This record gives sequence, C-alpha cells and structure tokens, in this order.
Amino acid sequence: MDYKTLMDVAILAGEIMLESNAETYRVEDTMNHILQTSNFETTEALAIATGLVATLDDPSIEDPITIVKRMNSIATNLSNIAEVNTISRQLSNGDLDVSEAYIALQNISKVQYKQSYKDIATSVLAAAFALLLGGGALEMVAAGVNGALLALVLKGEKRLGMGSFVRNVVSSAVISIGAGLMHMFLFPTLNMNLVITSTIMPLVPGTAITNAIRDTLQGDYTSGGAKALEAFVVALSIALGVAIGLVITGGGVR
Amino acid sequence: MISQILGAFFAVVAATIILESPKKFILPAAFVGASGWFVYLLFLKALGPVPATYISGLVISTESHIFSRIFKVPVTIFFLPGFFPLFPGSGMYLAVYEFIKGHTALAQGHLIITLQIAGMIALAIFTIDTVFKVLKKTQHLKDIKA
Repeated sequence: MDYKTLMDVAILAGEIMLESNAETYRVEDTMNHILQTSNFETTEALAIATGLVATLDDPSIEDPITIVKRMNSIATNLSNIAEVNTISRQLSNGDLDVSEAYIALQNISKVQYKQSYKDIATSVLAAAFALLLGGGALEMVAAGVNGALLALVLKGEKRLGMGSFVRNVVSSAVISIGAGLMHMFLFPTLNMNLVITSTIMPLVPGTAITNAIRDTLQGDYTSGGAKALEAFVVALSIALGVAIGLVITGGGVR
Repeated sequence: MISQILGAFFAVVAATIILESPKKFILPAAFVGASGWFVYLLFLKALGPVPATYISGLVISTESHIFSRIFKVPVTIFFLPGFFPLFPGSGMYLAVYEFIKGHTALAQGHLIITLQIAGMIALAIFTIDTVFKVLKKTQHLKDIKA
C-alpha cells in the first residue's frame, strides 16, 4: 500500500474542495473516505475554514504521518467540488487506484469559463434580477449597464488586491452612484431602488449564508461561525458602500 | 409573473457561470431557481415575504436534493445557484436607503424582515436536510435487515 501517495491524494482533494468553497463537513467526509481506503488503524481528517490537517497511523508503518495545509484564497467553484467528489467515489469503489486518483486530481481544470464570460454573466445577472424583481425594459437596460460597471470595478480591484471589505465598499458605492447618475441625467422615470438592488445581487453573500447554515447544522460551529461572520461583514460592507453612493448623488436625501 | 420567472431563470444561469458550475448542471439549477421563485410569487400576496420565502426554500431544497441523487453530485451544485433569487438583497438595500433618508423606524422594519428572510432560508434548508437524512437512515436500516 502506497500510503504516502494516499495521504497526498487526501490532502489534495481536501485542498481543492476547501478552496472551491465546499461545506467543511463535506471536505472532512471526502478526506476520511479517501484515508479509510487504506484500512489503517488511525485515519483522521480535520478541516476548518482556513486550513486542514490529516493523519494516518498503523502498526504496519514505521512512523505516523500528519500533514497540515493552510489555505489562503477561496473562490467558489462548483465544478471542482463535483469532480473531486466523483474521484473520491471512484477511489472508494476501487475503480481508480491511488496513483490514478492523484493524477486525476492534479488534472482537474481549475477554471471552466473565461473571465470575459464571467464579466458578461455579472452584467446579465443584474439585468435578470431587474426583471425578476418586476422591473421593466428600462430598469433591465440600466441594471445591465450598471452590472457591466460592477464587472469593470471588480476587474480593476483584482489588480490592486485591496481585500474583500474595501472591494465591496468601493464597488457598491460605484453601483449606487451609477444608478443615481442614470436616474438624474438619462432616464428620469427610472426606478432607481430596483436598479441598485439588482446590481448588488452579485455581491450579496449568498454562498457564505448557505454554507454557514449547513456547516452550523452539521455541528461544525467553527466553520459555521466563521462563514456567518463573513456573510455579516460582506453585508455590512455593501450597506456602507451603498450609503456612501446615495449620499454622494443625493439620491437618498432628496 | 411569467417575465419575473424568466428573470429568475436567467439570473440563476448567470449565477452558475459566476460560481463555476459544471456545464451540464446549468439547466437543472436554473430550473430549481425559477420554480423556487414561481412558488415565492405564488405565496407572496397571500402570506407576505417571510412565509413565502420559507415555502419557496422548501421547494428549492427538495428539488436540489432530488437532483443531487439523480445526477450523483454534491447537493451544493443546485443549492447555491438555486437560492440566489431568494437572498434578501432588496431588504438590505431598502434598510440602508430609509436610514439615509432619516426614516429610522422604516429602516429597522426592513432590517428585521431581511434577518427574518435569512432565517427562513436557514430553516427551510434545515427542514429538508433533516428529512433527507432521516430517509437515508431508514433506507440504510432496511438494507441492513434485508
């Protein structure tokens, strides 16, 4: 049994899942499944919001091995979660052996859609939300334009790397200023509230809220609490940005 | 109403791309989101936003769990994009808006509704997760007996 490669497989799988923003219990579950294919006496995996630890021990090996991995960047990637899940299933069923699984994990394509597609999707998301919330053609166009503005700001911020709080404040301020300006100069009949609401939707911490709920209900209070705090801080930063924008354009006070 | 459901459909499609969802699950996820929003609109007038969110959340979670069992993928793939239309962005914005205008009481009202909606989403996920966990356990027990 090549237990060192098995350990690498488990750590890599956990790393990909955690970086793709999977629920913490799912990460631990997957790692445990992989480690248990060794039938060793001690197999343990621990994942928290920012890192993971795994350990293997058995009388048949000389020294127990433990690996710690710290995670820095987290970006939701549902396709990676699905692929790691499939590979771990195949490994437990015996359809893949350890080295095949390791190669398969290394070949998981990190990015599926081009950045330009994602920028367009941000704009489309805003326009679709204007429609969803009961807006007309005018609101859709305004939200679409505003969404493109948001994509532009997010793109610019990526170069500067100011952190998520500043990013959310700046981008939601830009959104509400953009909507305010369109309301003032281009379309006086525009429902400005609806346009701003639609355009902040790409920023709203939906993923964090859902994951916080599911982690907490699994008894994973460390991760659940961390994600709930994340959701709260993101919501606060959006609110702050919108407030700044409203004050600047005078849209709120009139 | 049909245009709003279409809006939900396209919103979820866009969300799946931002969340890097696998291509073949874009349409099922969009179906989950659109039907959830349909249920929300159906109950909105009669019950108000908070109970409508709960019922819609139940539908979205159930569909997500069923799809995840059909396609054998983690349930998150349908959950995250599917819940997108329900997230209380509008309540959050209105709370800030009224606060800036100096209407503190109205702002508090919107804030409370926002928190309640988030709570209802949580409760809906919790309800359906528990139901499916129980179903899985009973199935497991049956398998052991057989």
